[in-house]
Amino acid sequence: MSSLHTLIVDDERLARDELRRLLADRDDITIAGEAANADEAKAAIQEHDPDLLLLDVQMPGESGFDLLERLDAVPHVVFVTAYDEYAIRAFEVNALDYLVKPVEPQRLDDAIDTVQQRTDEASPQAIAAEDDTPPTLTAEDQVFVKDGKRCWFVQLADVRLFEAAGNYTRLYFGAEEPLIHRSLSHLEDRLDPDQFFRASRQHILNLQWVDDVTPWSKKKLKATLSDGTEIEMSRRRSRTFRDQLSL
Amino acid sequence: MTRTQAYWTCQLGGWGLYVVFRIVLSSFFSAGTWERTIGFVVLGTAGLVYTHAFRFVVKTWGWTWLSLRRLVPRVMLAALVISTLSHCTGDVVGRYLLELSFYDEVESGGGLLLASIANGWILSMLWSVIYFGVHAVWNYRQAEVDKWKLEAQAEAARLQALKLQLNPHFFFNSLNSVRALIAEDPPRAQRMVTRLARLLRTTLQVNDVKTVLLEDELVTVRTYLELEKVRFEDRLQYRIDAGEAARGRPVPFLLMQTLVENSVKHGIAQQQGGGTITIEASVCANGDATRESAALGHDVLHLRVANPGTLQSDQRGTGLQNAQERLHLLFGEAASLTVTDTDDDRVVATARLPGRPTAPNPAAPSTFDSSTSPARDVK
Repeated sequence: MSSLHTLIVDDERLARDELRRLLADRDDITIAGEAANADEAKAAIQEHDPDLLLLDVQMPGESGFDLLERLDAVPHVVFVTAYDEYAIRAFEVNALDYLVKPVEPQRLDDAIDTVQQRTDEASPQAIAAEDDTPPTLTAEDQVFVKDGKRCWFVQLADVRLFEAAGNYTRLYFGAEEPLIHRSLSHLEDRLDPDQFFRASRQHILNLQWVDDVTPWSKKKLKATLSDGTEIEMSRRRSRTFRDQLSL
Repeated sequence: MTRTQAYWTCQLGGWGLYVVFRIVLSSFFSAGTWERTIGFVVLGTAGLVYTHAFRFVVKTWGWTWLSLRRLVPRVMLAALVISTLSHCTGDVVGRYLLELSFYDEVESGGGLLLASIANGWILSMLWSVIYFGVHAVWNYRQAEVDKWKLEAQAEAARLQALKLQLNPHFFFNSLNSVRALIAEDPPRAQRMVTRLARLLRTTLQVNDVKTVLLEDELVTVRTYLELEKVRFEDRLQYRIDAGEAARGRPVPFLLMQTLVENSVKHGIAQQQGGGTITIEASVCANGDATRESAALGHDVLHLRVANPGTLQSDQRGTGLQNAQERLHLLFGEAASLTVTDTDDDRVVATARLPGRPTAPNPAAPSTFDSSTSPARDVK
C-alpha cells in the first residue's frame, strides 16, 4: 500500500495538530503539509501535489468548497466540520466523505481506508488553476463540480462531452450536465489530447465515449457518442482528426 | 363514524322512536287507527325537519361555542319557535290537507293548543340538551387535544431556542480544541473544561432567568471569549470597557452574549488575520426629546459590541431577531437594538435600554426575581 501524501487544511492550529496526532500511528499516511486558509492551501497544493486533502469547510475568506472549485483537478478529499447543518446535509445528499469534530479515531481510520481503496482504482492529481507549467489532466483525474446545492467529484473518464457556455463550460456525465467556471480553451490546454479531442469551438469530446465517426458534409465529420448525441466537427478539426487517424 | 353520520343516526333514530312511542302510547288509550299513526308521523317529520333547520342555525352562528349563560335563553326561545311551528304544521297538514278525521274529535281550543306547544317545547329542549351535550363533550376533548398540541409546539420552540443559545458549532469546535490541548497542555485543557462547564450551565438556565446585572452578563461573555481565544489564538483580541454605573444595570439575560457570539462568528471567524472585539457599556443622560425616547427614562444604558468586517445580509439572523424581541418584551418598545457598518470597516451592534424592565407583560412569561438576586447562578 502506497503512502498517501496528505495536506491538512484548517484555520485552527489546534485542530490541525489534533489531526496530525490522530494520523501519527498510520504508516500509510505522510503529512505533506498544512494550510490555514484557501490561499495557503493552493500554494501548498502546487508545492506538494498531495494525494489527499483533509479539508475544513468553514474557513475565513474562502470556504473549503470555494477552494475545491478553484482547483483544476482535485485529489481525494475528506471533509471535516464541527457543526454545520447545511454542510452536513450537502455531504449526505451528495455522498461525500466527511468527519465531524472532535474527530473519532475509528471514523478517521475508516475514512482513510476508504481513500486507500479508491487509490487502487485511480490516483487523481491535485492541480491548482494558477500552475504555470501545469501537468496534463488525464482520465484518472477528477474535478469538483458544484451546481447550486448539488456537488460532485467527477472523474474525467466519466465526462462524455465538454460544451462551451461563455466563460463557463457545461460537463456531460451520467444524467447530469452542470456548469463549471472554466472556459473551454482553458480546459483544452489542460486536458490530455490523446483522450480529449477539441471537435469545434463549441465542444471537446472524450474519445472513449465516441461510438462512431461518419462524414457529415464534404469536409466535415460527425461524431456520435454512446448516448446518441451527435457532434459536428469543424472543418479544420475534421482534417486534424483524419490526419491523426491515418497516422 | 363521522360526526355527520352520528348526527343522522341520532336524528332519524330519535324521531323514529318518538313516533313509535306516541303510537304505542295512544294505542293503550284508544284503538289505534291508521289516521292517528299518520298524524304522529306528520308530527315526527315536522320535528325532524325543524330541529334540522335549528341545527343549521346553530352551526351558522356558532352556538356550540357560546357560554351556558348566553346559550340557555337562546335555546329556550328556539325550542318555543320549533314547537309552535311543529304544532302548526301538524295542524295544517293533518286537519286541512289530509283531512284526518281524528282532528275533528279534538277541539282546537286554547288549552289544548297550549298543552301541545308545551309538549313540543319540552321535546325540543330534550333534543337541545342532547345536541349541545354531545358538542360540549366534543369541544372539551378537542380543547384537550389543542392544549397538548400547543404544549408540544411550545416545547419544540423552547428546544429550538436552546439549540440556538447553545451554539453547537462553538461547542463542538471547543471540544475539538480540548481534545488537542489534552496532549499539548493538560493544565490549560483542564481550565478550558471548567470554563465550558460554566458556560453550559449558564446557557441551560435560559428559561428560568429573564434579566441579570450587566456585571454578571460580562462574566459569561468573558468566559466565552476566553474559550474562543483557545480556538482562535492570536486571531482573537478583545477589550471590555464598562463603567461602574453600567455594571449595576439589569440587561436581558444573554443579550450581550448573543451580540458577542455574532461578532466572533461574522467578524473574527471570517477574517484571516482576525481582529479585536470591543465591548463598551455606559450610562448616558437621555438628551433625546422625542416621545419615543422619553420612555427610556433619564439614564439610558448604551451597550456597544464592535468587530472587524462588513455587515452581511445573513448577520440579521435568527439570533439577533430573537435578541431584539426579547429586549422589547422585557424593556418595552422604547428599548432598541441596531447593527450598522462604520466607516473604518467595523460592524457595531448598539443596544439602548431604560433603567428597569417594564411592567410584566401578561402575554409574556415574567419572573423578574432574577433582577433582585441575579448573581445567584451566574457567578
